[in-house]
Amino acid sequence: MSIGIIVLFIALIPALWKRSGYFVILWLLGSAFLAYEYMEVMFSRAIQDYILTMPMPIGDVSIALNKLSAFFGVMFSLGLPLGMLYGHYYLKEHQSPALRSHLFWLGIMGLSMHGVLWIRHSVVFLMVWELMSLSSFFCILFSKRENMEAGLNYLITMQIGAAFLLAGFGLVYLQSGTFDFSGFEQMKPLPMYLILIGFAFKAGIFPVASWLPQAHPVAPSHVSGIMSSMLIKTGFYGILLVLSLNRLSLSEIAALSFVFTISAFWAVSHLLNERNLKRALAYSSVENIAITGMGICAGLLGMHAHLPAMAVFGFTGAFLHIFFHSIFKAQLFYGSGNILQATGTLDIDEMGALAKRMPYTAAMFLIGIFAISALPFSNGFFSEFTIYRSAIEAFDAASVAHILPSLMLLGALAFIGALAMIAFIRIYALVFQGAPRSTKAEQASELKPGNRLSVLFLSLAILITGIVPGIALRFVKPLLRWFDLDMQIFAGLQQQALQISSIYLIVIALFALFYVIRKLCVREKTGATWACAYPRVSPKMQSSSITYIQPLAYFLKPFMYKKSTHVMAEHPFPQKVEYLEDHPDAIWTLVVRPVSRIISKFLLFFARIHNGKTNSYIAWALGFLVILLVWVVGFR
Amino acid sequence: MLHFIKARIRHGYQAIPNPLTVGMDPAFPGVPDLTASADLQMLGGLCPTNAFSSDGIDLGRCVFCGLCAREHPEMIKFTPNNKLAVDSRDKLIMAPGQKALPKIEFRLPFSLRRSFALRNVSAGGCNACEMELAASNNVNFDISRYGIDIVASPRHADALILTGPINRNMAEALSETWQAIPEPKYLILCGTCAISGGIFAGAEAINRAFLKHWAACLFIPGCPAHPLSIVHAIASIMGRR
Amino acid sequence: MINAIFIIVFPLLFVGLIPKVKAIMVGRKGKPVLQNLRDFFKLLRKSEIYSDQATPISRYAPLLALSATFVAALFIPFVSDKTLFSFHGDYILIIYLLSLAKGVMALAAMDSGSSFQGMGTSRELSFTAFLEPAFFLIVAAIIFSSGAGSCSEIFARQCFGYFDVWNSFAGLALAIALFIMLLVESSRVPFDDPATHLELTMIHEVMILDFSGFNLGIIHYTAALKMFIYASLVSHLILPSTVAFWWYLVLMIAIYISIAVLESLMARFRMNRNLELVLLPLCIALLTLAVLMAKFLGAW
Repeated sequence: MSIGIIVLFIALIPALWKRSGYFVILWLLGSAFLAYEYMEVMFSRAIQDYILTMPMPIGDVSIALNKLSAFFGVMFSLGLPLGMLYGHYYLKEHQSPALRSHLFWLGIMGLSMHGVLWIRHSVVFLMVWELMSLSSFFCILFSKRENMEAGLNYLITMQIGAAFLLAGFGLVYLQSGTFDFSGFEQMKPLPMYLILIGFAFKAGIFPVASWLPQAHPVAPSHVSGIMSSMLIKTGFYGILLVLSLNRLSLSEIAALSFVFTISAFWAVSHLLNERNLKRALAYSSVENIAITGMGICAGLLGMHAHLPAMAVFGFTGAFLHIFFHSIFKAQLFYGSGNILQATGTLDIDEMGALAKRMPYTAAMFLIGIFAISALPFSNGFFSEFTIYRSAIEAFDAASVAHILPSLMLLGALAFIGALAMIAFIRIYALVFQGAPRSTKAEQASELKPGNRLSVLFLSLAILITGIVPGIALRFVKPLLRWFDLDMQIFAGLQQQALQISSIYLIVIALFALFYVIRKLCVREKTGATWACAYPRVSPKMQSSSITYIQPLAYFLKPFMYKKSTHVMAEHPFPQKVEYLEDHPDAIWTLVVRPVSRIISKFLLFFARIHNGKTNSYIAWALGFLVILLVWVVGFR
Repeated sequence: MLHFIKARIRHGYQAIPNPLTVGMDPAFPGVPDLTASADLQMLGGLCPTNAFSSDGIDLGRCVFCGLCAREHPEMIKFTPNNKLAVDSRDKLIMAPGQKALPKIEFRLPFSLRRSFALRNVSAGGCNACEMELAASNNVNFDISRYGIDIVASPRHADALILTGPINRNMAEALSETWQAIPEPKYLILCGTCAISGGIFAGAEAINRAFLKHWAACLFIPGCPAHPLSIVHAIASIMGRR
Repeated sequence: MINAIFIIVFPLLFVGLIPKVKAIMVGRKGKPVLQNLRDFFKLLRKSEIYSDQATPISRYAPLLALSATFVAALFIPFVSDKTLFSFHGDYILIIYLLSLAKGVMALAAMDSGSSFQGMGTSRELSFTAFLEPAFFLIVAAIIFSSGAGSCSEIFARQCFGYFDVWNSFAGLALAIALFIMLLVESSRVPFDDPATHLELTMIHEVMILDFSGFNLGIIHYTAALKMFIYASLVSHLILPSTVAFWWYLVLMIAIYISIAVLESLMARFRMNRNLELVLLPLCIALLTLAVLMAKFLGAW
């Protein structure tokens, strides 16, 4: 059996004794072993294949790795220990009586994430899947009462998703007679849709992504980081698994790209208006998942239209984006965890001038902002570059039916990219720049180096994979070969990555030249901010989160669901006025809540049965037996 | 569009070809011609701003009302010479018999000679000097042909051009604006109120402590300062003559 | 290489044309054409003052913006069709380098915590939201009809061909869309008024409110370069390749003069109306693409 997995199991022991330090060290060790095994499978012909014989009806459980699992596995084994490391320092500041169980469930969550990649038997897969949902539920909860609503919402949504998966797997079993994943080849449409929808619940795709923005803000930062960067990628693992074994028709691909486009727009329109830092990052995760999905759709379109360039670029972009997103999203979440620790709030309207008080966190957050806005020098740029290339390659296609969806993808990608950049410039500007808007921001100070360690590693990873994307391309290469994609075009892409790196170097050289000139020639002084010499400037006069986005929000008004409450002035004398604007999640407020209210009202009808008296329960059981008897035996 | 073309043809080309050498209307009160035999005491009694002293007439206090010239035309006459600016305060005092003001010797550093950005601070006063300053950038006088620009942010400016007597409420704003201008920076006083307080001198609402700390490089008297005086003054320190 | 030398001197020179033409239109002498160059050299020698709330971003963002815009300009054919750099798919990098320049300038503008700059940045960024997809779609339309791959091929002259009526109409429509983008990006009337310097219009000029000296000069040059890039793109779309290269200079001067004439005749539109106008390039590009595809389908 794999040494790494065994070490990870052993890591649970110090967890139960609240020794988070040893827990992290064992996780680092185990992940290192696992990473080595995954890399072996990725880059060489090594095979990890075991068969576990379980009693019927489960049968033989095949536990094996293929290149897809290995790709995700490397991502997990690099990201999880960094998350645990961050969590170790985070938990030191947040002492809680529930530390023992939290660490335990954290370990189980990591283990189940790895486990999901190994298992090739649908029922056992589903069991480990549910274990993943359950353990992450407990991790989100962290024994706080106020997290209960979001946590339960998450758990129930995951259960509904697992129900779809169960239905799909069951239909596949009925059709193919085996529980093994090899039965997924050439599925009928209905089970395929059910399985894809089930995985979509986990991945966070509109309309079932409402759990994401609720669960991430309340969860402790290391858990939100791990979940957003890696847990939701397991949904993509499932989707890619299904797609690698099935051919989709053109209308299905078009429908899929439409769903991803709508998902991205929905996420971005919420992201633009969000005040809570972590909820904004959660919506951004939904948006990036949608971008990855768009890349996959572009790749599928390419395969369908027999355009090898489009297919290569699309899938490469999608895989790269999965990998890069896990890096920069985790970095941003850990950074926001640091901000939460320093200021005690996540509301960007109460922050400001944190760059002066927390310079390292600000610098690293800036690198994360570059990555998430897909600006050059960051890794986010290269994955979006590749997806753009694939959408434009579609113009060589023969039929308009292929060009139209890719055109929609191109326009949507450009629009969403611009909106995401605006949203994150807004967040950075309100949090780190200007003057402090509240005493909480004024009293913030830089955290101890331990908290910044994970963020530092991830920032370096962003910069390195951004400036030299060839490294990541080499990493993705075996996966593309596994998908039977054209390797020559991929070699062309690698060459372009080199050219892009050289352009970056030229820009950096120019910048260095100007920097030196400026340092030598320019004298500098500091003074007050120029505010037209107005003597009573206060920090409240700066842009707030609502005003900054107002021109754009005016325009996107039809697409945003906004609720505002205000107390307006009635007479000219000074009195208190108030304006509160809220952007609730439309799907949650208008669809899910009313439906769940109807369901609970319906179930309340049967509440009379739960009266606690054993006698009435026996009476009900007796009545049921009589009816059953009559039904089976019949009247004579 | 057609209206525009019609208007343009009707108006023609309205810029003054060379504002530095153009002559003024004879009625313009410019540099005074104080005769050597003038009775300074008697003229001083007439003057509303106490511009006369034993040294002569102080153009920094004179508001060019013309009362002294109307009462005693044999002692003082105002010539239509608009070259009123000097580069230090004491040069504004004209002795009896002096025909013209000393030439401006101050020159801006070489980097500012072809491009000079001004920031106007209106520190109280009647606003006439501000209007004349704005008029210096209009179609007729067109100060921008010399590379002079009036900018809105002091960070973009090279000089602060002060108009108005600096009342209490504007004193802090004025010094904040001055602090916001990057080096090398210069102070220009435009109008009699800026130079000496003008008709507001000595009022309790005036706070001229700013000028005790910072020295000006150019003084443009006049009430209000004529745009041609302003153009000539600033063009001179830019080395245009 | 000629391109690189060209863009060092000419952007500020051409920007100086605009106030001169406006002056001629109202009958005054106006700023000399070389004045922008003189302002630039003066600013390089001044010292700088920064707000005490400003972080190193304010100090170095203009330099990064200039580097990014300059390198992006090296991909675009101006005078000669041989650009310094070129590779397949480089237009994406160029569009993103230009938005990097805009993004870091927006961050630098927010740095001092001035409410003026907050307003300016929010308006400028809301324009960007509609311009980037427009740019991509324009490039996509050109690629669709001409099959070019890299920026130097896309914006080389005669990518549309004048033998076909529909292609030349498409080229003109896209040139109009790019012209509107030029007006927005270089903050000209009717989107922004560069002559009012701040409060009234509060878009681009106000973003540089707190900058002084060397960085201000760099910012002016970067803005002039960006305007020059867009104007060159417009002129390259209109010109066929069969004419000599100095027609390009004539067309550029014509574009700058038309911007100046527009500024003399119009005022800045209301902000909400501006936002609606900014959608125009996007709509034109979409429409053009639809027309080109319909033609490809063989509708006519």
